[in-house]
Amino acid sequence: MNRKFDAIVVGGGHNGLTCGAYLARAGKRTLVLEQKPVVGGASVTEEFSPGFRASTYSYILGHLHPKVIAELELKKFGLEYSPQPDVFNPTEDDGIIFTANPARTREQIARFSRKDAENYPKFFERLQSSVEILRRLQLETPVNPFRGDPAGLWKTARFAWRYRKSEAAFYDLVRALSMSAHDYVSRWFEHDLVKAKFMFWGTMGTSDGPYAPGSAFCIVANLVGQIGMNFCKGGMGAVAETISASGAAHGMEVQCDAWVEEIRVQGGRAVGVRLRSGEEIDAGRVISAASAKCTFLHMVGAEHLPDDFVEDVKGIRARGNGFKILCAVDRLPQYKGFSAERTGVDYPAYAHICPTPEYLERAYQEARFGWYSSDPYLSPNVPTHTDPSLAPEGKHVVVIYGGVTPHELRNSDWDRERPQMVRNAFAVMDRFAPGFSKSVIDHKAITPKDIEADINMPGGNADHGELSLDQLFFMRPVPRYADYRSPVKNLYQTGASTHPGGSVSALPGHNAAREILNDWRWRA
Amino acid sequence: MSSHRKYDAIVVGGGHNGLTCGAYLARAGKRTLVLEQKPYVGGASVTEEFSPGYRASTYAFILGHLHPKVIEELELRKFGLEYYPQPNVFNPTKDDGIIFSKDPVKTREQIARFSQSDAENYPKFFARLQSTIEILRRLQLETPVNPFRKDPAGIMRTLGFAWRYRNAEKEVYNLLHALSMSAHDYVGQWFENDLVKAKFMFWATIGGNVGPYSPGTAFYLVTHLIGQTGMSFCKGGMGAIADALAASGEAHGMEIRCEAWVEEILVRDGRAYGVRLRSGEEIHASRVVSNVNVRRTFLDMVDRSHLPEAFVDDVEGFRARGMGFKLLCAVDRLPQYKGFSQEKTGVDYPAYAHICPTPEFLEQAFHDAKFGWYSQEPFLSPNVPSYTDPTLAPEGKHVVVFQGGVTPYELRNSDWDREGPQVVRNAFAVMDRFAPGFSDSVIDHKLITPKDIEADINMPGGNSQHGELTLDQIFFMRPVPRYADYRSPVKRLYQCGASTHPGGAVSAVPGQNAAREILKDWRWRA
Repeated sequence: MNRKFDAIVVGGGHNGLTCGAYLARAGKRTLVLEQKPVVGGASVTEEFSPGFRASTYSYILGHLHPKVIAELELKKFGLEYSPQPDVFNPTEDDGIIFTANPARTREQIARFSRKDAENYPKFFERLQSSVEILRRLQLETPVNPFRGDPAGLWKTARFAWRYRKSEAAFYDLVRALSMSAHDYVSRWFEHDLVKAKFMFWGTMGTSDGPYAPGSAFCIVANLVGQIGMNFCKGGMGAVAETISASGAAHGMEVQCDAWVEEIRVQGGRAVGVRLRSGEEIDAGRVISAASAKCTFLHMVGAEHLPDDFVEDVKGIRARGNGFKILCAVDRLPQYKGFSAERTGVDYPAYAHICPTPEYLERAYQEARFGWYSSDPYLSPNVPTHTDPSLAPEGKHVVVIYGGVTPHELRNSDWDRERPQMVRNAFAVMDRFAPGFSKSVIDHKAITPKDIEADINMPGGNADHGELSLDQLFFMRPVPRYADYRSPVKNLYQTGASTHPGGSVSALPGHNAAREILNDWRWRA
Repeated sequence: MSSHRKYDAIVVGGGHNGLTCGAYLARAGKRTLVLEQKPYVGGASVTEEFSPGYRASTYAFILGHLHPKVIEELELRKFGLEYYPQPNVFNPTKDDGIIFSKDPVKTREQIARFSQSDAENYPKFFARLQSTIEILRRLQLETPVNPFRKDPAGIMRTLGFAWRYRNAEKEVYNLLHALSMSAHDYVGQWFENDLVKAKFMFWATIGGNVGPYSPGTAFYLVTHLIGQTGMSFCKGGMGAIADALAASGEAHGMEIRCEAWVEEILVRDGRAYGVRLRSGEEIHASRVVSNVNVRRTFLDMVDRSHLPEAFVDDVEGFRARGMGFKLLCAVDRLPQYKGFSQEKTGVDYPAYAHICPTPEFLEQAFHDAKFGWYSQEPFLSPNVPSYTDPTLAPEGKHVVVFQGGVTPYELRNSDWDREGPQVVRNAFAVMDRFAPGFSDSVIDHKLITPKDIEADINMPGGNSQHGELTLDQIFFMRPVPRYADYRSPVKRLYQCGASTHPGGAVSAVPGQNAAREILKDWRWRA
């Protein structure tokens, strides 16, 4: 006799857990299945070296939506984080701070260019208008403008009405989606360091460099977070644990080491799952937090899916181009350009190393042809600066995110090249923070290929799919099914593949749960 | 001084779109005057004698986009337009080469010589491309609809548009894919062979300012294949198009004045009423149409006090960067590609070629340009109009016209006067590799950089589209939001050039669409 639930969530990443927690709170008997021994997906903390713990993948808490934090009472269930509002961009003899406080950021910019400082408020205002509309859209289920049925037309009309006053903001958003990060910042700034500081955000989420059209959108998308930038106490794994605890408190069950081999479909309806163990579990509804590619190309039988849908899913472009290096060090990195009194910061625990726009773009050129950057851009951060519990007394953890590393190498493989990739990154660190490489006791390097192998992110892409126009909004993950539903009845999608995409925002999970509960009201 | 002559309409700029718009207005019985700053009309559609006895199309060089509707309605053939089909594009490698022909079957055979699987996928690629081309051809002829207009007429337009395209769901998605994908990803969906990929990716490099690995460049690929007339060499060069348009208009009373530099578009109480020439002469008209690019029109010719700030800000934000150079060569013999073989390609002579052996070759050419330099190894599009039109060169001699890239508008720490010769050497070096002895065959040549293009015919940044074809600069946002319907914030001042929908290329569609809108307004308020 199979176990039976109201809902089964496939994948215990933060979105799967969020969706599950909302369903449990709505009184649904919910089971979350995770293939790994721990939940969290890309929001995990691991002991990568004896005594040293770090957030393996996602590392900054800033996108997690306040609505979810409040509704799931995450603080009550133990979520703690300490603000890390300052990002330091070192040069070899100085550096600039970007902080949550515009006035201070402006002062910092003024040290490098008066004109840029004067333009900063204009830039900020323009950016803010795009951020605002994006924040609104984030919480909405995308509307398919081609639905011809009355309900669909009604949705489209309501959408048009809601946004009737957003004309200017809409145009700015389309511009961000069309412009390169370089062009976008160049409208206001002239100084290379100032440009590069903002362009760094434009490298996270694109498939191409910050000189490529559309990369401006990534600047906006990376700054939509509403809780400021923070280090999560205990690492990002704590986010998953608290969401999980919140769900459990309302009866959500979580089963780890449970590899879902098939989402069972009968008569066009999802009826449950089959585990690798052979066990079958039944449910009234199945929600997949796995990537769209993984879900519909591996877990659901193609015979249950329309051909053009499968075609669209195959066409989803998901290429990761970032690497992570987790480092155990015996002392804090010392940036030679850093000065506490010039920057007004005690220590730059979070830095972006990209001295010029050209530096950022050059890092991409090798990757276009299947190789990795000889001079990678880096984002080193030191969570132990605010959370000593992550490392032994007096020691530290430095988490380096950087790029560019393609998923596949031309005429080589990552096992052969990983050491050189690490040497390249350390060489850059040493240039800006001399002696860094000597301070490294142990390290773990993670390439896009490793990310894919470990947590099933296609191509090692943190967003499950690149943030390009045709993979956003009502076309994410694929046209006609951006409303968290799928061609299979009672089979839903959540996770980074769905609107609004990657980063630990919990919004895909939150939005999906809303849609599922909507349907439940109509057909139990 | 003010002339008393009063026209119904004055068209500022005698490029092919200005002439087209003027010709349509004249046919509608409007007393129309076209003003051109240069001694001859045509703008980017001109033929010049760049060396004694040698004539070539200075800028646009292939006739293929010129819209059949315009050819017919303006009776251009009757007014002397002739062209020779040039349906085959040759992509040489060092020891072979591939032909792209307008006949899909032939093209498929050619592809099969390099990759069986690519040949099998070609029909799928072609079908996808075609569906996107079809919808673009429909959109091309439509005046863009502003979805944010809230007046009843505006809402009716939006609903009408939605209704017309209600069945185009798949096509719209494919169009959005093309607008989002890189040309490399786009062709990568069907093809594996580098030469086959590069052959199609070449189209994506024309008129853009980023490499074919950049998002959105797939759209360039599509837009260059929407032409319905078929690739052709124009008899007498592209100047013949302008001449035919002018003749067609003049036959209906259109007047043309060359060497008339318009310094200001005159506006009173928010209405355009004429122009002032550099000479000081004022010419009045009840409507003024600018064929000049949007930046120059509104930042230089119209007094700012007549324009909303937001509009000016949008115009200033219009991105136009040219990345291509032209190289006109007088040669004493036809280029001989060592990879070319008549029986392998089924073509007598490759009068039109694209030199770009691999996708990487194309992308690398763009890399230096990002940082203000020009390509060591430019990609080239050499074509030999004199092969089909001997009138362009002396007996036994030929003209080779190169379009190539990449050359940015501004150089970092140098200028084009200094670097021009090296650009030519780089281009010749590439050419010699594929057509040995070419450089020795060159008698004379003329290099044209983006800077020269801007200086000569006022294309901002030397961008042949007047503005890059990115999502935020096309359709209802071209040239700027709210004014994509060929109108402007100034009453009775219209736009009709490449800055407007559907953009550059010698299609005459902007001119045709603008004329339609202008005449519509006339019906309501004379």
